[in-house]
Amino acid sequence: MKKLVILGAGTAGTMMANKLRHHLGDDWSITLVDRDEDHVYQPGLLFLPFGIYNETDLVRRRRDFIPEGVDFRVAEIDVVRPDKKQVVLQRDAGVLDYDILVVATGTRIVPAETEGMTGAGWHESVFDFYTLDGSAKLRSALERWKGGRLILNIVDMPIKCPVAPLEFLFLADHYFHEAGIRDAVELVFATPLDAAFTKPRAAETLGYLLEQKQIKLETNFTTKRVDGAAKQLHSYDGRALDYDILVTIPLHAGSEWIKRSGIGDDMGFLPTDKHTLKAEGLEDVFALGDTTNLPTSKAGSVAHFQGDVLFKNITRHIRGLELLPEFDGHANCFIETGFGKGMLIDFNYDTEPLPGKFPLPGIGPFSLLRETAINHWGKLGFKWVYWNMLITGRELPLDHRMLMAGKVA
Amino acid sequence: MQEQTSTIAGAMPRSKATVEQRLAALEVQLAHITTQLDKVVAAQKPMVDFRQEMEPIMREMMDASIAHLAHLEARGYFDFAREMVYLVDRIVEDYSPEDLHQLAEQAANILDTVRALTQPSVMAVARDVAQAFEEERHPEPQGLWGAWRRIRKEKNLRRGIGFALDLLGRVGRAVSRAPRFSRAEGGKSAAPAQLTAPRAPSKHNGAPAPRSSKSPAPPEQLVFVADDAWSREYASGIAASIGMQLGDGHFKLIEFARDDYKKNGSAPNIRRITTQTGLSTSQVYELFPRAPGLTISRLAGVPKPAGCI
Ligand SMILES: Cc1cc2nc3c(=O)[nH]c(=O)nc-3n(C[C@H](O)[C@H](O)[C@H](O)COP(=O)(O)OP(=O)(O)OC[C@H]3O[C@@H](n4cnc5c(N)ncnc54)[C@H](O)[C@@H]3O)c2cc1C
Repeated sequence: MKKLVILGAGTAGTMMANKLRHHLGDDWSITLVDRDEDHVYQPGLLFLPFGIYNETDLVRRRRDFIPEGVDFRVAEIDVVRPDKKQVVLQRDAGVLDYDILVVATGTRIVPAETEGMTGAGWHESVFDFYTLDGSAKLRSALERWKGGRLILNIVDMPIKCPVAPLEFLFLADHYFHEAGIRDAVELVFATPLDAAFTKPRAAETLGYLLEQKQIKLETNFTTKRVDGAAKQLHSYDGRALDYDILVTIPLHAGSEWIKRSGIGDDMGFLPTDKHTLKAEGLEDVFALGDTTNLPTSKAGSVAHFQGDVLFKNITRHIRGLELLPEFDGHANCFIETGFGKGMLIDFNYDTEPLPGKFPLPGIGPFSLLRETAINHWGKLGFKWVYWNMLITGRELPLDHRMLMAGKVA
Repeated sequence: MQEQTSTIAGAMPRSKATVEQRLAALEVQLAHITTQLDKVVAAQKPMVDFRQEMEPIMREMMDASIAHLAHLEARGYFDFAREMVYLVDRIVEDYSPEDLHQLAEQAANILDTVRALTQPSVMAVARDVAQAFEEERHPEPQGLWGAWRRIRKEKNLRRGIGFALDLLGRVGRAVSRAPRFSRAEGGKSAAPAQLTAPRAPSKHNGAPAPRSSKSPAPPEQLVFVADDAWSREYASGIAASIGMQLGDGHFKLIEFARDDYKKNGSAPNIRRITTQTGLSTSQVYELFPRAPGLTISRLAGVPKPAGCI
């Protein structure tokens, strides 16, 4: 019996387990490993602070989405030994041999890497919303808030879902507006990049948003430290910003086990072939999702498009065929802009987000780089798609390659 | 299941029923549940099958539709359609449903007229008239005398006048018969119906986007400078223009950024620069005090570190 092992039962891992189990015969065993039992719908974490979703909407049991015939193990991964083709689990949970290994352990935030961030005021006046805990605590804080200055800062790229910080600010503007305290709230966006919208077409079509929503911008802001006692955020070039609430997007890192195994880059991401999704320099190892070092967005949609390519490549690899360089960096993200509207962007390694219609040229129903109500419904509908189609590995009627059809170049 | 067990327990008080009796009852219940389950599963199957059937079909339909619509879009159908929508919009604004109704009633008449008007002979006249407008030299203004002289001389002119007089007679007859033409009750443009109470102008949102007003200046874009155009001198030249002097420390980072871009297809941000070169962020800032990520990219001749939008 041949052994296929998948590390991580999040978006990408669960999806691959479904796709592969339905395809591979009884001569293949599939083992899926994760450290816990709960699958969190992460895109929903954006809505939690504003009371649009609550915790029970966002958490389901991983097992409910894992198909029969897949051996699900709850254990912390210790190291992988590529030379022996083994995965070692912590706390005597054993050793797994593999013929093929799929790495999908995602990324994690590491707030403690920034001086002072997890010190005084952590989860009292300094919050992340990339974890269930942080997001829920931020909701309680916002519910009680009477106004003041809210700063959102990105410590550095890469981050999961790079538009989520902007979406947060747009939703915050809406939320405080509804709460009747918008005039008492100052919203500030501190980004390490040189603009809120760095790509020309997006900047051209979306530049109005910050002004319209009265969000102040601090560019080239490389966060040095947080002074939780004085409620100040400091940058390396000597700027200091006072805040009442700091919503931070902390540094992101790959998995610790990748570091321990000595197979990752300096941030713990796994060097992966841009187009075939084979782990670089490792035999029979593949990677997808947030865990790779690829220069595309870390997003569930990306994991989905990668899944189509990787599924094909793993089945080819098994049959001794060469791998197809089919992944093009395709990403497709809804962006909430508040007041019941949303946007959609569709791009890849080579093509910046362009205006147009998606997926049907001229018709849509979704509009690219434009605020519409239909896009907003799309974003809300994504939750159903996520639980019922995406992670269960069903075919979505979408090409994994980015198409120029419908786009205005 | 929960409920089933509790009814069994309820129907058979523990004290009286023997174990066998209880088991027998349970068996009956189970048999019942099993058949029910079979039915549910059977009912589910077509749904499941349908979905499995539909998945590849939907993908194909989608692909085909995309190709077809892309073709139409390339040929300008959608731009055209959008203009049509505008046209229809204007008509809808200016005319009422009654106008349209009248129009429909007269449709056959209108078509007859159009047909008559587009007969070759009529078209030839129309073309001739149009041409007269296009001609470079228009005839001199003519007095009554001149006109008289021409009528006497030109047979065609006399024939034309006869025809025109006849036509005027018909118009006169029609005018005396026809009711006065009027558009149904002022069309629609008069006062647009108010569906909702006017909203108080809101300070922040709800108001339409001030798109055309002052959008912020577009962010600077940097392009890759090819190897034969890039050199240390190139970098030093740009540095001088922003008041910087480059030394080995600077070049170490600049050259790293260039290599990294060539290898990975994206410019390194500060974090990558520090982790890869071993310098601390403070040291990077000592070398490049202002926006080091952007500055290093500019000097290295590579696109800047960017987000996804
Ligand atoms: C606030 C927010 C908003 C977002 N919005 C969107 C959106 O709108 N659209 C979109 O497409 N994407 C969005 N995303 C991104 C999306 O959620 C992720 O890109 C996606 O979940 C990545 O899938 P993954 O499988 O790579 O990682 P994950 O789903 O994070 O799964 C990784 C799994 O590995 C497990 N694991 C890690 N290390 C170990 C270990 N050592 N031992 C055992 N198990 C381990 C973890 O427990 C986890 O279950 C958003 C994310 C956030 C945080």
